Amino acid sequence: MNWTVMILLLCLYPAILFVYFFVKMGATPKKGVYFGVTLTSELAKEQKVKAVTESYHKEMKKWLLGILLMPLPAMFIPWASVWDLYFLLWIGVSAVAFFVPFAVANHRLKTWKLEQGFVTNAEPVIYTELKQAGAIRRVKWFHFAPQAMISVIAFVAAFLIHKQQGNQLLLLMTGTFSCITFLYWLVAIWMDRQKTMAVSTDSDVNVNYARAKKNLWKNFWVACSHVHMIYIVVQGYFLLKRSNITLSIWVLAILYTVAVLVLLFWMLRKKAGLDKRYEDKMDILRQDTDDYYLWGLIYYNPHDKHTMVESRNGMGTDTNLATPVGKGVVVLIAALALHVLILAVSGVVQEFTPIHLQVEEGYVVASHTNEYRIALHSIKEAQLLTEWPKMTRNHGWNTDTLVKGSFRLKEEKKDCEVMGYDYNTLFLRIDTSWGTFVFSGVDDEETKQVYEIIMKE
Amino acid sequence: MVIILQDGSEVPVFKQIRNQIVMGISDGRLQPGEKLPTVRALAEEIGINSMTVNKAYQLLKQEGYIMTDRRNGVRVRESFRMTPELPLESKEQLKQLVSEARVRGVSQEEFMALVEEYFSAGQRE
Repeated sequence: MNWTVMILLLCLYPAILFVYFFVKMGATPKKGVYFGVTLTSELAKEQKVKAVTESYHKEMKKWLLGILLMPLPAMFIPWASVWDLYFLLWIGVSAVAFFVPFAVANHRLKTWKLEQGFVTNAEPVIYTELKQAGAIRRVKWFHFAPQAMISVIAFVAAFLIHKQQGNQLLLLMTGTFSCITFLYWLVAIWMDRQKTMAVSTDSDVNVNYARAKKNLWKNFWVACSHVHMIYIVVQGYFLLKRSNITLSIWVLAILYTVAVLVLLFWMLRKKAGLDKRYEDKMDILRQDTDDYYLWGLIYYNPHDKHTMVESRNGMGTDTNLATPVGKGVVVLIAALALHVLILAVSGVVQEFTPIHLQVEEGYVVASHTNEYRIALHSIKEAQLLTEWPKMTRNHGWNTDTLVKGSFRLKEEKKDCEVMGYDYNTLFLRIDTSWGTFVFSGVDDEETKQVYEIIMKE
Repeated sequence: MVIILQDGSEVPVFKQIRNQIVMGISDGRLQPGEKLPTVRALAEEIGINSMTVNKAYQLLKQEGYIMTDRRNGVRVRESFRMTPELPLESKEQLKQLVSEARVRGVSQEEFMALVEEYFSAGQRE
């Protein structure tokens, strides 16, 4: 187990506990809604509700134990790519597993409610506060302008540095993260424009509540964009220095995630406090819309044109997946998940495809999932190295076994193409007029043979 | 003022909006001269087509409840110069209500008491 694994576990275990408590908090009855099922106060007192709640808590503990133990067998997996795939599946399972007991409890309560002669869906009623229609906007341009400006400056600087020194990773990462700053801004504006629910028949209560809630969200996104800006600058510094790049990426990614989670938690706590303060003033009761919540969790209501609605369980907001934006969110999440899965599977393919280094028909051929062909006559110099030259990755693979892709030689400050196994002890460096290459064969013997043939030729 | 719209109602949405605004003016929840949201803002807030809100506003304007101008947007009229008589359609609705009450066994006294309560509620505001 190397240090990346340790960091991963150190990061993921608290995140799993966070998700566990977050989901459990969401299962707390809210405004007569128990596990996504609207119950009358009489029904809520019934023994059945208590039994379902107890069973839910037991199930949650079982799932937590299972999820915490799941990575342990992976410690004995010797292949990095299989290990990555296993961990990815673990994260996927963790993201879904805690909602299974909730869905089960929802199904049991819903069935029971129907058996008691209640319907699970009423005619939808839309409450709209006339005074807050389009009137409450908290996000102003100056909240995000400084962060956007710094991001643009960072991107321009990265571009100029790349042109001068050839730092592709710096350009790629700064460019991507600069775009995300604008994404924060856009999301903040979009959320600011979402409909706010009328919670009371008193207009002043509605307006003040909506204003306070939008303020909270605005503060959250502004704080996130500040964290993001700091991340861009600090990460840019490490990429510019080209020192401890992998470690800095990991550590900063963890710190970034923790900071955003802390901000989210802080915002949700504030929101819960706000709801508590307004609890007595909220005289518009929630509608019985059980059937629009799949498994009590996923909001799918074609009659509701709003994408963001007040969360029915726990804190925050729910996304209506029936709207075009909601559907877009599903497609985006599915595409991201698929992309990550494909990357992990391709990692396995990369690791289990053997590298071959040989000389055939006047060419040095290094083949793996792709192939390099270098004509013997174009070789200026060939060296047999006993260790990898000092280099940093531009793009490609750099695992415990496979090293492949475009790298930058630290001392010579130039790029080279690499394909080899990390555990080998002999490496072949080839310099041509059109580039530098560092290869290794499937073993040291193969590398040595090719080197000798080149020297003979 | 909160507008309550029934999604499954037989009454068209634009009519529901019109009725709710008239009720708001009547019971004082909407004050004379009070600004109303723009067509687009209200449509976005309710989650309906802006044509529907536009239709409701046009009707209210025609009936003399609201006024619109480019500088101030949509406002409740300062004073209502209307004939003190219900339109024919409203009279028909009232007739329907009275019939329904009679069939259900609501007495004339009970019905009148209810009318008085609703009538005076608006005046109190």
